[in-house]
Amino acid sequence: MTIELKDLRVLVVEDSFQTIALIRTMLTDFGITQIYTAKDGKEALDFLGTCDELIDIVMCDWNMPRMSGLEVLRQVRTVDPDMPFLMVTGAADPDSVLAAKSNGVTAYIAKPFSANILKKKLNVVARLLSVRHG
Amino acid sequence: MFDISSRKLSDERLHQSQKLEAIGQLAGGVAHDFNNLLTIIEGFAKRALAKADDSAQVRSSLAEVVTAAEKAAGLTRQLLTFSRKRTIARESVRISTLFDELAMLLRPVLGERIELVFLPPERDLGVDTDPGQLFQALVNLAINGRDAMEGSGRLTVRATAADVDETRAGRYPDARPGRYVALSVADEGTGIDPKVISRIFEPFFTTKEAGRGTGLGLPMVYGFVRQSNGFIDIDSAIGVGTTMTLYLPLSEPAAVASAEEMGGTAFRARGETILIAEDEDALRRLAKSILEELGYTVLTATDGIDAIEVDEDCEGRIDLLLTDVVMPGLDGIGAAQAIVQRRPDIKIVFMSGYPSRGDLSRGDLPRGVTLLEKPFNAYSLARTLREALDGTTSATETEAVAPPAPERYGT
Repeated sequence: MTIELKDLRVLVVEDSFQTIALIRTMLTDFGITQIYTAKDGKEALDFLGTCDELIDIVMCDWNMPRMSGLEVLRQVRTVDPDMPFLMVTGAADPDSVLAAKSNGVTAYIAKPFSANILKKKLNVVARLLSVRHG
Repeated sequence: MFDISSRKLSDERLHQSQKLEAIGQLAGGVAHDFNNLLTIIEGFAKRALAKADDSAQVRSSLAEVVTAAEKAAGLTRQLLTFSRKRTIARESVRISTLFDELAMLLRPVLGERIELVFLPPERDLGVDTDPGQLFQALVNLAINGRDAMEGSGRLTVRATAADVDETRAGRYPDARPGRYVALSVADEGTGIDPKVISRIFEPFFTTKEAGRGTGLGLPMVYGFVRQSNGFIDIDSAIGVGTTMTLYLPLSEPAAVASAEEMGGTAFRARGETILIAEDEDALRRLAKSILEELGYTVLTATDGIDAIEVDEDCEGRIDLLLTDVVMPGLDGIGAAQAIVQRRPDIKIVFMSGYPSRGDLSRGDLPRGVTLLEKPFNAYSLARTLREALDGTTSATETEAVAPPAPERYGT
């Protein structure tokens, strides 16, 4: 089964409403229509707890108040080891990257990022899901 | 007898190192917040530009915003390098390749009045570091050298092997004893004023006139070298010149195999590009080193998902995927399936550590697959790849490749 970019169902976890707005416009430009947003890790985990099957990829900011992106990743992995998880980060020091890798992060995207970079990352996820869903 | 001057110098260097560490923490935090804001500024400005009507004034104004945001992003990248908040790739970088690329780039940048001299080591060496950042660091040093010479003089780039013992390492707060490549850039310029020498790695400290320097060139070099587990030596005299020497860890010589070990000329590349996907760092670096020695253009990926990313990024040809079977996230079979969908003609060679091939039992393997059993040596790798590329091995068939050399990799 081939999954195309436009078919992806994305959960954006980000505390800055301007960044959410920007990502939403980029995703919409790619033809993606199923976009969900959460303003922090707790809201994202609550959403995933009830609607996990609605989401193909979590796109999560690293630095957020209360719960970091790394903690969100850890908790997502306890219930779904295969959920593609794209970490969005403004600074990636080697220790943090190692921690995220050992917790099963799928890919990173460094801020500031262009629409093209985001598109490439999401294309990778679409190809990954196509293989997984055979 | 106690050497007070040497102790004083060490204390000063330690103090300076601690100060830079504190500045690094601050700079890293600022850069992080700036990147958040730049994402929004650049993203919306580009989008507005894409949707702008034909008004030349609106379009040029938006283009200015985008250009400024891109420049600002470049500055925050340098700040993040200084504060060691950027990931760095680890590869074996050949000095000969590095010098060739530097010569091409630096000659036009430095201008005709600067004589550029390269002094390579007696035998080619490798350093274990990030090639892009090493290149950037040397360019930054060369530009500083040019500016110190006010446009004319000789700039010498030299590389030598250096064994650093306990005593020598003790003189630098960041140094550990070991085998290094000393990469120096020497100018015949004005020299650095001793009063400011302790501040030259601080961000935004510059002796250049306003508008000529960002004050981030040397901090970038400092952060990069420290993150590469190296250290820097400065030798400067007023009116004579400055030599900045970067000590970077030497790549282990095991990476280099002789031409005979690799089957002479029979198994050399014929202009092909290979993508290696292997999660074991040392094995990936080794395979890359051997394949580059054979003349291949080599791309690398650290796991199956990364392999798809590299494939997605690559606009040109990839002739063969050399992939480990078992990798975290997405295994080699999944990566191969994804890549074959985009590149139906690509040849696939799996590296497997399981002689029983238990890890290759999954169905629907891509066509044209060859298996290279671990441990392998340079000869078997060279031969297997050449045969796979030439189509002289049959699919999913392995054969006992007699190695002439005893050393085997990937155990």
